[in-house]
Amino acid sequence: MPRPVQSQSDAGRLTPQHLLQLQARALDFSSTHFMIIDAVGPRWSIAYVNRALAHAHGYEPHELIGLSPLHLVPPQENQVQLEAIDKALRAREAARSELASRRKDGSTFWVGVSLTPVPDEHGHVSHYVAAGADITVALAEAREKRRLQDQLLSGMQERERMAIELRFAQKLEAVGRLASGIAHEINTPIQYIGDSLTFLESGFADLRQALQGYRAALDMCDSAEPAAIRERLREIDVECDLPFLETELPKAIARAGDGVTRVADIVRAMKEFAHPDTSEQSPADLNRAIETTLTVARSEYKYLATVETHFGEIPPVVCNIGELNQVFLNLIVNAAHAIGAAGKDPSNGRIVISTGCIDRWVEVIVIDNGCGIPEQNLENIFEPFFTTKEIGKGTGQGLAIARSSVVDKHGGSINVLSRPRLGSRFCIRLPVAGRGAAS
Amino acid sequence: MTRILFVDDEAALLDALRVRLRPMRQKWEMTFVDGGELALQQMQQAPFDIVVSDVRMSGMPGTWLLKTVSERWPHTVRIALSGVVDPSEALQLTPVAHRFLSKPCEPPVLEETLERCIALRDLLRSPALLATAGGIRQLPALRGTYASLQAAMLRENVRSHEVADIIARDTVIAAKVLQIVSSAFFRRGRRITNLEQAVTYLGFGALRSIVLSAEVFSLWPERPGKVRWDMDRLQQHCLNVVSAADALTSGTPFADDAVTAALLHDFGYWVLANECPRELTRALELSLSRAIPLHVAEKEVIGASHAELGAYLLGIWGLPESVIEAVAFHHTPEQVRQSEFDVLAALAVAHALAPTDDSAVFDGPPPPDPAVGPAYLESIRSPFSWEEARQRVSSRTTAAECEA
Repeated sequence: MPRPVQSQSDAGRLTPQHLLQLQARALDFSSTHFMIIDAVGPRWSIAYVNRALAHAHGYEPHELIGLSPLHLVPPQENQVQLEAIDKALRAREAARSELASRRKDGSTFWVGVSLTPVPDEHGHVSHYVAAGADITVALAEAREKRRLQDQLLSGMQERERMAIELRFAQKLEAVGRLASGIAHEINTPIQYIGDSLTFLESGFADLRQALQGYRAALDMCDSAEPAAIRERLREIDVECDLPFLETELPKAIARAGDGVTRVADIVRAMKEFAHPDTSEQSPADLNRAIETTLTVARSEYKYLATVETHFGEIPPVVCNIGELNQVFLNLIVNAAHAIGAAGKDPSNGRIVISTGCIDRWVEVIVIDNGCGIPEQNLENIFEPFFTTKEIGKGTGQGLAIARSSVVDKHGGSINVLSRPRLGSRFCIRLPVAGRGAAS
Repeated sequence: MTRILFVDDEAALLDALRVRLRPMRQKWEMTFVDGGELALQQMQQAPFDIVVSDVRMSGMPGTWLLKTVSERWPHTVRIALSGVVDPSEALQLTPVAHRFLSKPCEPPVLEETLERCIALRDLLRSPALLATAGGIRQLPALRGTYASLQAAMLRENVRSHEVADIIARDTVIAAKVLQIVSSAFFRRGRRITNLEQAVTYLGFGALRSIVLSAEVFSLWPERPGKVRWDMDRLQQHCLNVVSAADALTSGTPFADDAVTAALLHDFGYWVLANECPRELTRALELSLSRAIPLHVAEKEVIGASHAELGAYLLGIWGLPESVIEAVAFHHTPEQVRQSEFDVLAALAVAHALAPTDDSAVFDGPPPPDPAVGPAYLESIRSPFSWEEARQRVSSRTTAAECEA
C-alpha cells in the first residue's frame, strides 16, 4: 500500500521520488485506458495496464501482464486497422485507430486508441504506450447521426427525383395525348390531299383523251362536214366528262393546296410548341404561343367547345416559353374537359382566352362555361396529385405544375374564380421583364 | 345499284372522296353527308346498303351513328373510316363496325373493300338474312375456353403462343380476334390468319380489353334448355376438322389459311343457334324427316345455309378471301371452279375425312353429305390421292389420341 502523497506545503515542490509515485498512481486511477507494450522481445507483450483498461476488459491488471496485446485486440476482427498501425509504427510515427476489443467474457466493444513509440536512452524504440477509451457509445451515436443524415439526404433526393419524374410523366402524358390528336388532325387533310391527287391523275387522263379527240377532230376538218365535227366534239365532251372536270379540277387543286397548308401549319405549331427545354429565359410573344398551343391541342377541344381569342397588345415577356406552352395547354385541356363534363358541345361550349398588359405585367385569362369547380375543391386544385378526373384521365399534376412554373420559375401569379355549373376563370400574371426583375 | 352513304364532318374530305370515287358512279349510287344527324335522315328516307363513316365528328359521334344504324337498319354493312390512332378507341368500334379502315385510305383499298362487301351480299340475298347477320354485335363464347383465356390474360408472364393455343379452341373468339386484327388499324398492311401472329400484332393490352369486354362476348347459357344442340360438341367437331386440315396442308404456304378456315367453317351455326334457333330446329327436323343433308334443309327453311351465313359475316369482317370461299363452299366445293388443291379443297376434304364422333352435335345423326370423294380430288389435280389423304388424317388423329 503506497503512502499517501505528502501535501505540497513547501512551495508546491515534490521530491522526484514522490513525483514518480504520484505519476504512477495517477496513471493507475486515470479513467483513460493506458497500456505499455514491451517491444524488445521477439513478440510484443503487455508490460503495464492501468485499472481502467483492465476493468473495461473484465480483467485485473496483473492478469494481463506478459500477454500479447493481440489477446485483447483479436487480429481477425481488426485486420485493416492493425495493418495501418503497423505501417505507422514502422515509420516511427504515432498511430490512431478504432479497434474492436475483446472482453474476458468474449464480448467485444470499440476503443479509440492512440499508440506512441517510446525510445530508450539510445534512441531505439523499446516500448509503445497506448492510450485509449471505450468509444462504443460515441461511435454508435456518430453512426446513428450519419444514418439519419443519409436518410434525410436520400429522402430529399428521392423527393427531388419524384418531382422530376412527375413533371416528366405529366409532359409525356400531354405529349402522348397530343400526338394521337395531332395524328388524327393530320390524317384528315392527308386523306383529302391524296384523294384529290388521285382525282387529278384520272382527270388528267380524261383530259388527255379529250385532247387526242380534239386533234383527231382537227384532222377531220379537211374531209368532214362541220356538222359532223361539231357532233364529234360534243361526244368528246360527254365521253371525257369535260364539264365535270372543268368545275372540279380547279377545286381539287385548291383543296390539295389547302390541305398542304393545313398540315404545314400543324407541323410548324408542333415545332414551336415543343420548344426545347432550357432553363434560360428569353423574350417571347405570348399571343403567338397561345395560338400555337391552340393549334396543337385542337383535337382536344374542337369536339367540345368553340374557342374565342381576344389578344391584346402585349410586349414580349422574358420567360421559358416551352414551360408556359405547357401551362396554356393544361388550362385549355382542363377547360375543354370541364365543358365536356357539363354535357356541352361546340354549339354552346365556349373557351375565351384573352391577353392584356397592366403596368409591367402581362395577364392571360382563360374562361370556360363548363361544369365549374366545387367550392370545397377550389383551394386544393393547385396541390400535387389533386384530381377529380377518373383514374387514367390525368396525373393530377397539371395545375400543380402550372403553378410551380408560373409562380416559382417566372415570379408570376395564378388564380382561379369558379362557380359550379357556370364555369371557371383562370388568370395568370407574368412580369414582363422576367423573374429576376420582379423580385 | 348498290347504295352507299359516306359520312364525315370535314367538307373537303367528302368533296375529295366524291371526285376520287367518280369512276365508280356507274355501279354505285353514292351520297355524301357531313354529319351523323344528316346521315340518319338519309337512312330514314331510304336505307343504304353500306355506310362508311368517320368516327370522331363534331355533333353526333361516329360510334353512335354506327350503333344506331346497327339497331335500326341491321342489314346495312357498317364501315368506319377514321384517322384515330389510339388502339382503345379503335377497339370501341368492334361491336358496332363490321370493318375499320384507317385514314389515309389509299386507292384501291376503299374501292376493293366496298366491292367485296357488295359481292358478299350475293351469298345471302334475302334482306332478312342480311339483317340477321349484320345486326350481330355480340356473340357467345364457350364457357370453358373463355374462362381459361380470361385467366391467362390476367397472368403476368403469359406467352403469346399459350394465348393463341387457347383462342384456337374457340371458333367465336378466334373469329373476333381475326376480325380485329384484319382491320387496317392493327394489321398495317399485312394479311394474317395465323392466330399466334394475330395475338402478337394485337398485343396483350388490346387483347385483354377485347376478352374482358362484355360488349364483345357473351356466354352460352350453362343449361341450354330448349336448345337441341351442344356447342361444346360442335366445337370439338371443328377441332377435328382443324387437325385433319393441318394434316393435309402442313408445310404448304396456305396451311394457316386452311387451319383457320377449318376452325371457322361452322361459324354460321353459332350465328344461327344464337339468332334464329327455331328455324335451325325446323331445318334439323326437315333434314331428318326427308333424309336430306342439313345444309340443304337450312337453305330451304332459312334461305341460306350456315356455310353462307358464316362466310358472309366473316367476309364483311374482313377475313381473307380464300378463307371466306372455303367456309362458304365447304359442303359444295363443286360449285366453285377449281384447278388445284387449295384452301377450299383442303377444308372440303378435311371435313369429309375428319372423325365423325360428332353425331350428337345435333339431336340424331344427320344424313351424310353428297360425298366429297376420290373423284373430287382427281378433278382438281391434288398432289395426293384420296387414300393418301385418309391415311394422313387418320395417322394425325391416332397421334393426337396417343398424346391425349
